Amino acid sequence: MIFPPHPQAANFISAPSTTISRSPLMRGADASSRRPQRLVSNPKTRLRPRFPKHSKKKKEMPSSCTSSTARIEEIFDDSENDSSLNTKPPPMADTPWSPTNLYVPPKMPPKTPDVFSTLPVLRDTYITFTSTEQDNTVRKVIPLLSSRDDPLPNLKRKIHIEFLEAGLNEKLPSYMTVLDASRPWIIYWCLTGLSLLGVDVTIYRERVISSLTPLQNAIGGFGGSHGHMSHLAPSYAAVLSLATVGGNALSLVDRRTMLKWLLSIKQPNGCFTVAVGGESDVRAIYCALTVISLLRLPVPKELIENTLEYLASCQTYEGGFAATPGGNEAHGGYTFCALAALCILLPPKKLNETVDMPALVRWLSMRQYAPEGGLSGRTNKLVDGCYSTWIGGCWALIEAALGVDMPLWSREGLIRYIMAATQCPYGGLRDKPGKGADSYHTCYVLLGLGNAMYHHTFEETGEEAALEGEGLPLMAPFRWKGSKVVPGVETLVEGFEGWPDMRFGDEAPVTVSGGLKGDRVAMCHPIFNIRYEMVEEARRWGDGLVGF
Amino acid sequence: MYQEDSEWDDIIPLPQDDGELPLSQIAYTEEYAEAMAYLRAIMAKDECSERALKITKHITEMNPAHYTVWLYRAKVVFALNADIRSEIKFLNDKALRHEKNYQIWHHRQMMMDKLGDPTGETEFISQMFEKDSKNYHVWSYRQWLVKRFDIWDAGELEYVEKLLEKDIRNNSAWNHRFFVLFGRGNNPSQEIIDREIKFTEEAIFLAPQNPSPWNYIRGVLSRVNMPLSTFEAVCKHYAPTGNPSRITSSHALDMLADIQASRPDTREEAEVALQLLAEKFDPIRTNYWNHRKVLLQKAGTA
Repeated sequence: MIFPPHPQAANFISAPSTTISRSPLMRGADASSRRPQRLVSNPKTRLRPRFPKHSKKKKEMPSSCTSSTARIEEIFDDSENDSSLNTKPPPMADTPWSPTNLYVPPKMPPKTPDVFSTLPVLRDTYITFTSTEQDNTVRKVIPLLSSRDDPLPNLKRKIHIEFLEAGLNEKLPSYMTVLDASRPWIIYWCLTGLSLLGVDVTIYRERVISSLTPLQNAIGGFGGSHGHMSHLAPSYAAVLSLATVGGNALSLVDRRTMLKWLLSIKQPNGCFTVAVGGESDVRAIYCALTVISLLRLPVPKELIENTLEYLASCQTYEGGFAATPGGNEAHGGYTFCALAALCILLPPKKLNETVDMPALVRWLSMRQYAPEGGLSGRTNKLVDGCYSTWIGGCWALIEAALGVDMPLWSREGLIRYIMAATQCPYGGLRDKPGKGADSYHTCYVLLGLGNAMYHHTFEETGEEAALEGEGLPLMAPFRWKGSKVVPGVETLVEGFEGWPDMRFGDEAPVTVSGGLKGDRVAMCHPIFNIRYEMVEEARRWGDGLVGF
Repeated sequence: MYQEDSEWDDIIPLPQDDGELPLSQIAYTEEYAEAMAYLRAIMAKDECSERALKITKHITEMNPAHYTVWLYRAKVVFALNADIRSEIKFLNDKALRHEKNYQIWHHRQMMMDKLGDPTGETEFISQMFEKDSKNYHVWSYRQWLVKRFDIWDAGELEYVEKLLEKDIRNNSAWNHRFFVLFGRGNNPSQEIIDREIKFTEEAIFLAPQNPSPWNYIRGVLSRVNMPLSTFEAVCKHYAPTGNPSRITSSHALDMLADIQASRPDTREEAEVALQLLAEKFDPIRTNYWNHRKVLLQKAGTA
């Protein structure tokens, strides 16, 4: 019979490692001395972060540590002066080493930098609805980001995979009937999410083809469900889903009718309507150009006439892009659509001549918030996990356009926000704490995690002029290359050397699924938002097309 | 329901084809599945009739995001010359219940365009903004409406001011202000520009860290080709770089850096401002501020 070990026994290991386990703590103490001075004039209106009280879930500890446990509670209760959190080393480490006390404290994760764990240095005291909403969000996020046990939780890969697989395989409940007009979207979100997590989704090939076949209409294009009118959004999602499962699944698309239909919804002003009689905006252009270039459609002059000018005219006085040139507000989703669409038409370097770059970069940069680290879609709106794709995805294009060899944004901030604040305990990823998971957010948060991990470059070959030839397919997006190496960034997350391949606590990188290690997600194409391998396969499929 | 209705006797419903091995199937209610089967059948005939209006209304009730039904309904309304006022009334109720919906607003726009009379529209939109004053679709619709019916001076600016009084951080309202000022194409008079500068200054006084007025004034000055330095004194007030402990706005520092970077003799001061932002006042954007510093140094050597 095996006796349960004495609770103390597990914690007693050999003495020499004491020094090693202390080092991250010491670093933490050093960092706190650089803490910026706070400038809040009215303490009454100041938002105080609430830290979780750990008293309820006491961990098993050796009896010699009970006094230290009491001190933990004391610190967490001390919300008046939260700087004590940073200046006092964790109490476990206080236990002096002596030959008779062989206790070695467990290895603690490195302390979260101040920028992600304290309120910003500059804060207004004037309160409005917007600032209250912002404060409420910060209040929920700070405890997660500055958790002392687990400030950078692991990617809960297994339960996210389960969540997405359920989205594909199970019948969705009837309250999801609102998604009836977006069924290719659900398939795209789930497949993309799964492939990012390292799952081989080519096993779904037959079922994707079978599900999408009834959605293709005789006039060309795909509808949201069987019997729905052809629409650019489901057509985009259908084409990407087919590309994602590979193996010539793209041949399902009738390219001839697709081109005819696209020409029928093209507007003289350069835009497309989403359907015959539908609305038109930059989202429609991005969807159309993605379909055109992935399917290698020939491009008659009228198909993209004035499109470049239309896209450029959607940039607003703030620097971001709006849905239409009609005076709408700059918005993350439309900004990605506009930039990605421009990069389907042009090599990224040409963005510099096409849009107001300094204003765009400023606006994009302002989308990242502290202490959350996450990205927002508009000025004075809250962070939302899905903008990890829409705003986060713009950076790859901007970096290639500017050709810089230094980082422009805080990848660390986005990584911390995603890992700590968007993972739902029962699988799936979300907008922000307090919201539920869905396949849309799961897909775009994971894509965003990839945006924070990878760097993309455009291969200049000196044949750029050929990209704009009349009547030729749009080939610029096939010349991107991704890399694990991010120029100017050695460690993606401060204190977590080797992340994402090495997770905190792992002795060595652990291969988890599909050849991915640790918390790594697969690398996706910066314009099409599907895996590079599948874009490559689509290119080969296109090369093999004979005639039209 | 439709099956037992004599009005639909002549129709053979077309059931949904989900394919043999469907992914992400939806467990529709019987009511929805049946209505859709009849809709597919009459759409296949391109039927424009009273019963088409009925069935489309029924389906939008169950699924307001159904673009096909909306587009078909619009076609039927126009073909039958149906009463557009009552259509708008139907839409009012729908919009208030389903705030985040594209289709309703596109449909409304088509109806209003046909009706040609915007009476009561701005009042209804205000009702929508009571629920969410940053609703993107509603703002886009309002901008279309103002342009379509040329109602630039019928209380738009006053309405923006009302919203900003409620929440000076409502960026959608700031954006609309810019639209009202410049959307007509021609630039407003100097008197109006001065008024806008003053308005922005007052907004910044309330909350110096609010990015909206800072973005707005950048937009205004650039649009009328006035230099950013017009705002230099204000920047210096909120960002006295000589006395960092009194700095209250990172946006002031940002603009100050731009102003100083534009003059060769103050480039070093611009660097100081960027340094303050990177190290102390806006550390989430340290990389961006450092990038700006590099650009500044390049401009200096060029």
